[in-house]
Amino acid sequence: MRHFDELLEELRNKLLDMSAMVQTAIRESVSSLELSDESRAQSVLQGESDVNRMELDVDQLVTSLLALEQPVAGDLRFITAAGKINNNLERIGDLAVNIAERSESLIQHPHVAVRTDIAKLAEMAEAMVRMALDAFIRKDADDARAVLVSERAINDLRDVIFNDLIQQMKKDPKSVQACVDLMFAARNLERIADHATNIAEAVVFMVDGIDLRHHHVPVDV
Amino acid sequence: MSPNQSQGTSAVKIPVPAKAASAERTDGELEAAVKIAVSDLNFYYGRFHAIKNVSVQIRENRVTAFIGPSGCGKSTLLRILNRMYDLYPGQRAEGGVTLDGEDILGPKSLANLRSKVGMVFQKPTPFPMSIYENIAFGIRLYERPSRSEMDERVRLALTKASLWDEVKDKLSQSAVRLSGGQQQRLCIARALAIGPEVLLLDEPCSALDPVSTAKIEELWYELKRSCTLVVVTHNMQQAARASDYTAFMLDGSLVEFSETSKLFTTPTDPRTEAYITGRFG
Amino acid sequence: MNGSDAAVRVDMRPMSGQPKSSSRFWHLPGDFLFHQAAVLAAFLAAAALFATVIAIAYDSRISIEAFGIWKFLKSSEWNPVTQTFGAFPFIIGTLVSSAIAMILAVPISFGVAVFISEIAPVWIKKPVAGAIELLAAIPSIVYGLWGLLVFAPVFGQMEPWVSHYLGAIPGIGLLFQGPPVGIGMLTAGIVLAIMILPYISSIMRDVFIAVPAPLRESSYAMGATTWEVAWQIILPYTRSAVIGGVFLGLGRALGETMAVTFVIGNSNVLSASLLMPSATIPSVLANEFTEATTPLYLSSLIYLGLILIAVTLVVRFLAVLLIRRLGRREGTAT
Repeated sequence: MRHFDELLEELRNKLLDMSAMVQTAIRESVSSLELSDESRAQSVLQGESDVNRMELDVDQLVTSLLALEQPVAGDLRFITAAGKINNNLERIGDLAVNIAERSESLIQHPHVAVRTDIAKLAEMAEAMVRMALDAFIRKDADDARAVLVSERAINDLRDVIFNDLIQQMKKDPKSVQACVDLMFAARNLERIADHATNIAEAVVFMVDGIDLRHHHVPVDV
Repeated sequence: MSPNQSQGTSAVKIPVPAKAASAERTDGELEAAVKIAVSDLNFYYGRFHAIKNVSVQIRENRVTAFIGPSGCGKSTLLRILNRMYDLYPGQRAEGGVTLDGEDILGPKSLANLRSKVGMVFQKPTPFPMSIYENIAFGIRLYERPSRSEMDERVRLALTKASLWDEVKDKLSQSAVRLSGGQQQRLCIARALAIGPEVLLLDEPCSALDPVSTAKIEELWYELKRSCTLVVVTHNMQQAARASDYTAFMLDGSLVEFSETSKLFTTPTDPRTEAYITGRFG
Repeated sequence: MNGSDAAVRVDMRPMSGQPKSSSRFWHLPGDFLFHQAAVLAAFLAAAALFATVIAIAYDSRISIEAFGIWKFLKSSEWNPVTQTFGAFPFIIGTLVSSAIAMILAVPISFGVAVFISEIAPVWIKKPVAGAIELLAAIPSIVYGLWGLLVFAPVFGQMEPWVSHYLGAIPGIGLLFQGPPVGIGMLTAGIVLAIMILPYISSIMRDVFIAVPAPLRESSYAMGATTWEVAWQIILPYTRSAVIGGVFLGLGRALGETMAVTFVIGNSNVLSASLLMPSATIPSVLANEFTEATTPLYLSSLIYLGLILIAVTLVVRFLAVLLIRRLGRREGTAT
């Protein structure tokens, strides 16, 4: 294997490690929210610095590959996509931390019972992140495009949840704190899904060389 | 016009395939006119079939780069454009090559063609005479200007090749004593002195250091305002940096031809991808 | 010499680095002998030249004592009967016959070389080049016989025409006066031209062919014609080698003996006309050496030989000077 290919492999492996860390963070923060488990929230907070360190590491590798190897074509698209995926993963990690913080806040108000579909939203966001990263690993543009389709469903579900929570707050002013925490959690999950979309777009660019950003995705993708 | 043009060539985000020739008129800002049209070109060195059915359109006021492994026919193609192959019996070209719509492979005046199509070679080839005479030589082949006019023409050509400041005090010195990079710019100045419409450059920087190379690439940006440039290069970064269109050739065939930014980010042919990413063969 | 031997030995060891490196020493005595032989050969060649010059100078001492240097050079009197000898007619004869040969042979050689290197189709290059080189293989005595028996009678037919037309021109007309005998200075010059043609043209051809293709191509790429490329690019580029070739030819012309003796007419009298018989230093040597009965006569002939050597050396010196001056002007180091 050429030296350059070894470096590309190293970049890929670092991104895989990082996505495993981030996916764990999402899962832990969501189950902390669902199970009111403070220890899970704690582990997410502690894991953040690892993700941040990893981001710097990957950024440096990307910069030096661009500067020293002057990649073109597929290599260039892979490396620029890796840079974008890296930034998006780090943001997802931050959002998981935000959710964990909201979860800790919620644990302070255990008596409030809130009925909403936030578990469904979490499941969808997690699935989008997983699909986008799978598409990256397998270099599968079709799978990546499939991720983009879910964006609208996520937004719709978030609107439903927001509505539910607003109704709840109107009914029961004591639940306002809990509802606000949940609204933020839902907002964060929706943002995670946005980042998953960004990753999927980067994958499409990497594989097909087509830039889908800032265009409305055609319905028949 | 020129700021519009440069925007036009760099705006290649939208993945729309290159416009067909018929669409040119409506899209005048994006597409420059065709200067040289090569169609179904075949070339033979004796029995060896060096260029196989190549068709390509070279646009006016643009830099078109030809890349490909050694022996792919890119230099051969370049040497057809000014009929350099005429020097060698046994070499022959078949097919169509037009310059501004006029056939150049037919039995027309070579001097006329070569006054329109200048050429610069891989190694600097200063003529064995003074710097001044190197430039004046080409001018005298076509006209006999007065002494003062000749001085002006020489100054202009050297200025265009951004060599004037370095040599203005030693014009009567032998050209052979210049550095490699200066010699190559002298060769460009010499070609420019007769006012060519097309400038062919055959690996013009391969014998030069990076600083001289950068100067010559910078020069292309200036030259393409008045000239159409066709460059053969082994240096892919050079093609990527300094050309508007890139053609990839392999075994005498044209594999891919597109805007440079497209070819180097999203080549369509896997052979192009393999070659430009260094995973060739 | 043992010192250099040891130095080689030290150098060999790190170079080869293999266990069998000692086998290289087997070659060293051979290397030593070759070194000595090369030095000896170079020394012998130089010594031979010096010995010849000294011997000739020594043998001309009687004549040098009798006539001095300047008087011998400028005197036109060559009379064995009165035992007065002067070299002037022969020096002029040598220089003029060689000059005629150069004037004819150099442009023709240039044309031949340009034809072979630039114009001729591949299939004809070799036969033409071969035919011209064969001219060099013909012995000079054959040229002399051909000149005397074939060329001179034919040329004699043309001479009335030459003296009628060219002789009528004021000024240079003086060069073309006289009876149409066919032999004389012009005939000698023409025969000499044919003899030196292969030397000059083959050197020109070789250096023209060796001109780098990119230089030639870039001249054609400017739109230059074959003539412009050959005259303005290739000739200046190969200048020093061409001058070398020209002077090689001149050296042969100056020293050529037999062919010239046959066709020049051998007259000790200086004449302005090129159609008149004349003599060169080599021809007078060849003609009169056996007749030189007195020591002064013999010594004067040898003195002529010394002058010929001097003329040749001066010509060579001028060639070197010319190459150096042109080279300085163009700044090339070829």
